[in-house]
Amino acid sequence: MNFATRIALHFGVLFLAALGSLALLWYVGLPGLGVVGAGEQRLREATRLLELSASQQRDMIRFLIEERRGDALVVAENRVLAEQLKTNVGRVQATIEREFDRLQRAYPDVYLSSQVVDAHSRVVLASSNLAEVGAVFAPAAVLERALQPGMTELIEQVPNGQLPGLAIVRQIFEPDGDGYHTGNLLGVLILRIDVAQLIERAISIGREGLERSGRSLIFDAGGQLLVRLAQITSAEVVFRRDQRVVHGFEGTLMLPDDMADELIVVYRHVPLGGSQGWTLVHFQSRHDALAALKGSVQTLIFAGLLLTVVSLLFIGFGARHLTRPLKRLTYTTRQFDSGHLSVRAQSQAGDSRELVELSEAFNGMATGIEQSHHVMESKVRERTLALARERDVAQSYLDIAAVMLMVLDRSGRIAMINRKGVELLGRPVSALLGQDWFGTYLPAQEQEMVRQVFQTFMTDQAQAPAYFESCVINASGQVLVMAWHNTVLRDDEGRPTGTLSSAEDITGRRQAQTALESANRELARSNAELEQFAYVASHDLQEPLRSVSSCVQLLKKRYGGTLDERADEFIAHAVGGSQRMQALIDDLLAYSKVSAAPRTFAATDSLAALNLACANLAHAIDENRAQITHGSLPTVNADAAQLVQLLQNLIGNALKFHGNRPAVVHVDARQEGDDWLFSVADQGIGIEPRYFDRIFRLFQRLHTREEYAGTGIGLTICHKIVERHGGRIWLASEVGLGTTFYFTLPGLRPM
Amino acid sequence: MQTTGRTIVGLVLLVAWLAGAGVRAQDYVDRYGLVPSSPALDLGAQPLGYPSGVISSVMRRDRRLQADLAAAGHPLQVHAFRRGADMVGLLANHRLEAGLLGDMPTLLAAATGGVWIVGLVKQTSTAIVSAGGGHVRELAGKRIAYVPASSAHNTLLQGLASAGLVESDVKLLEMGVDNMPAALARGDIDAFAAWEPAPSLALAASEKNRIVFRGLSADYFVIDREFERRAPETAHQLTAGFVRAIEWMRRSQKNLEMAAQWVLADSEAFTGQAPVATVAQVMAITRRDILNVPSAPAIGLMPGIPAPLKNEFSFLRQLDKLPGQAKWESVEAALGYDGLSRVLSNPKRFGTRVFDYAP
Repeated sequence: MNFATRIALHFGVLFLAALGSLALLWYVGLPGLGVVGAGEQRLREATRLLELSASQQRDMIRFLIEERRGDALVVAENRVLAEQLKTNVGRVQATIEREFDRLQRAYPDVYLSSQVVDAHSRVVLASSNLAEVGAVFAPAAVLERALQPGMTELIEQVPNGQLPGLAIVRQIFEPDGDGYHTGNLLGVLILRIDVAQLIERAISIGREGLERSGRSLIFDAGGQLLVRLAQITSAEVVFRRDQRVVHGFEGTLMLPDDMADELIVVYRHVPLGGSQGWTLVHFQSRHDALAALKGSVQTLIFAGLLLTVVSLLFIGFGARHLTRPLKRLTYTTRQFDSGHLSVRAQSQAGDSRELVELSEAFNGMATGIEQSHHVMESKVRERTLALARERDVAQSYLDIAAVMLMVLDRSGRIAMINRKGVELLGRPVSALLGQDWFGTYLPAQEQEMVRQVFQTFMTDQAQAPAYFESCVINASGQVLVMAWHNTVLRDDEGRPTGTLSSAEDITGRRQAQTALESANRELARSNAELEQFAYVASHDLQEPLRSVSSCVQLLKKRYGGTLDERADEFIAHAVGGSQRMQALIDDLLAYSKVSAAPRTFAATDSLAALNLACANLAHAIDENRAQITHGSLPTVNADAAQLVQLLQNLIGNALKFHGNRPAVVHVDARQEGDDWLFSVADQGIGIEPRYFDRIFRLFQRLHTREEYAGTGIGLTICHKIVERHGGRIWLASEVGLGTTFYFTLPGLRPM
Repeated sequence: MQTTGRTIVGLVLLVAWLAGAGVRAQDYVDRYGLVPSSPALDLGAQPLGYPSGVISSVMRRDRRLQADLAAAGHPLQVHAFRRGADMVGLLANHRLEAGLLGDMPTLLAAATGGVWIVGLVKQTSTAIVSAGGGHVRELAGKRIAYVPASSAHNTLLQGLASAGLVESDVKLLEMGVDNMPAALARGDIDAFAAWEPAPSLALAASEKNRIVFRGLSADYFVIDREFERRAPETAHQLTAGFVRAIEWMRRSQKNLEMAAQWVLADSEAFTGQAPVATVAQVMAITRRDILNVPSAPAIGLMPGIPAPLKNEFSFLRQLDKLPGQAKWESVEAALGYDGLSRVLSNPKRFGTRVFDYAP
């Protein structure tokens, strides 16, 4: 809906609302402020008209009755009639007939009859109806009242058959010389009047030019209906039911009728004589009273609608005129919006101040936007160049990477790849980008499985593994073993958009590893065979060596000193050799047992192990007057026998190499994490650092047998025991100052 | 006698309460030197009301009446009163021997058996005149001027009742009828209830003024029973003067005009202010309200038709505006006075057609 239509609609609605409000105000008014609406005004006017009508009808009835009273006065004070009553009754009939004829000619259809009744005999002396002459007047009560002193004139309701009638009765007195009566009552004159005719005449006159829709009822003092004009039975019921229309009073009422409406009721008292009178009720329904407004309302509605249509046309024309500059401005704005930043709004003569200000504001804004746009464009160019440079640098970073870097989109197509990837896959970048990774570069048997796994990453149903290895088939069909590191790429809302992967070609490394593992397995097998051989050899050599040694011992004992010196020397060499052979075999067997023994690790008190080791070395300790000290020693998870042998070998080694100084050995331990670090420190001759690794090798000796006895297996056994316990052994030494061996053993772990 | 005395005292107090007339009655006593059962025949008149004042003005100028009463030892003294209610107490204690009263004072005076109701003084209407109002119901909360215990008061109560209102629904302001049209014009009041000529004057003053309710009312000529018992013939002569006055005005337009001039003069003498009504207005009112009333001044009690004052009595009884000892039978008995019939039956004896008025 355009602005002009909106303006027209807006003002149209406002106009209609204003018109409606005015119409409502016109009809209802503002009762609280004393402003009377047309409806109330109409009701008041209708009431006023009814009142005027009723008053006029009342006055007309009264006037007509007074006319009849005047007629009666003229006849009753007719001197001839009075004289005839006194002196010549026989002439009265003629006089009455003449007078009645005169009245009939003057007021046709008004009078019903005329009678003269004798004051004493109550007999009708004369009558316009000859049949009544000579009869006693009836009703007698009326005559009785009429003959009372002072009742010179009486107006009585006397029925005319079934119809209401009215009688004007006047006393006829004997006249004096001046024509005034003497007070001597001769008789009474009775003029009977057709009440219905009189009232209808009065009302027809009274209604002329007045409220035509009103209805009238007339009741007598006893509440009997005299005249009903029109079909007003329901209203009659209302008046009889509601006692507020009181005889003898005049007023105006609003009475509810039986048709859910109200009646405007105006009632008037029509006096007759004494306290007698009629009640004239003039009424109109509220609906009828307001009916006259209908024409006005219809005219008003028609005029209002016509005015509205015309106003809407004017408003529409005015709105288009008003919105024309807005349309120009809209067109300019659209041009501006389409990129013509140099366009400006042009004000024209006749444009309103607001529109000129709006155009100026627009132009100011456009200028600002244009300038901002130029600045923005410049910045965008700079930024684009910077981004391109950054992109190139980033690409160069990617390209110099020794691993393949690749981005897959959500569908598994290659979105980015670096130079290493190009090299590995054997296709140019242009061919790689957009290619389906899984269907192109994976082994056929893995394609669907890997694709499904990839989709679980893209739907967040599973997390991508940080590292895995897989095979890739490059363009030349070569199978490459790739080590992958992956991360899922996500948009700002955290939804997966693809993966970034780095892949390293580990084909060569994997092949070398396979070879190494094969060699290790061969070495282990060889070691095991060797150990088995050593064990078997040492074990099986025990018996022949024992025989040889026994024989050599026996030979020395029996023939020692009996042979020449050379023989003694040879025997001595044989004994010594067999003894060394025995030691060597014992040590070798001990070494073999270390590996061969079952792994029976248990909580072992290292102090108890130390004590047992010292007990085993008691002879050497005494011989060397050695001093063995120790710190707080823990309970560890170890093979108790091997721990004793470990400590015994290390302490024995310290006793052997104490040099010129007395042997002093200190054993200590401290906890490091879950393990215990043991130290066995001496103040012996020390070891040069270049021999630190060598001394743990089998049969490695740093001194001649003549300098220090030994087989070169003791420290190898120590190394084997510590290694078997999952620990490690090393040493720190300084020549001439002493050596400290360190080894670690596992502590007690909760089961 | 003791009962009668208490009744009189009660009546005086009631009237004083209704009309605030205690001080005024004493003012009239002081002003006119009214003495109970004095030889003079003290006649209370209302020169501000028409045609009541017209009749009394004619009677006070009736040389025949003056002569007859003087001869009987009861010289006529006509005293002007602003309201009929002010005469009720004076009639009850025999300071006045006769009076021309509105229907309410007549009821109050007759209900306790203190007076005879001789004849009709006027038959007219009293009206509620509103400044612009169309219905009685619109008078709710409005200021309405009235004369307490008057026929207009009765009409006001009837009018309010017809709209479902009572006295407490409006603001009643006690005011003299001659001040009401001007007060309505000034906006001091919103409506008033009064008898003629106040309604006619108000309607003539502004087209906005409307009669919203009208009731029949009548004034009556009453004679103190005690006086009548003491001097019945004098009462007849006074009645004859009353009849004569009406007959004289009926006899010619000239007589009526003269009577109107007399009452206006009496009114000015009483109030010290020029009367608002004109001679023509007084003449029209007099003709309409008494001269044209059939058989007036005869009241005309008729079987089967409610007696005069009956409706008013019932209405006031219903509103508890009558003293407890007031009885309708007393009123009915007061209406049964035959003095008027005797006078009318003997026109020669009472000279009802002998007219001799001093200008």
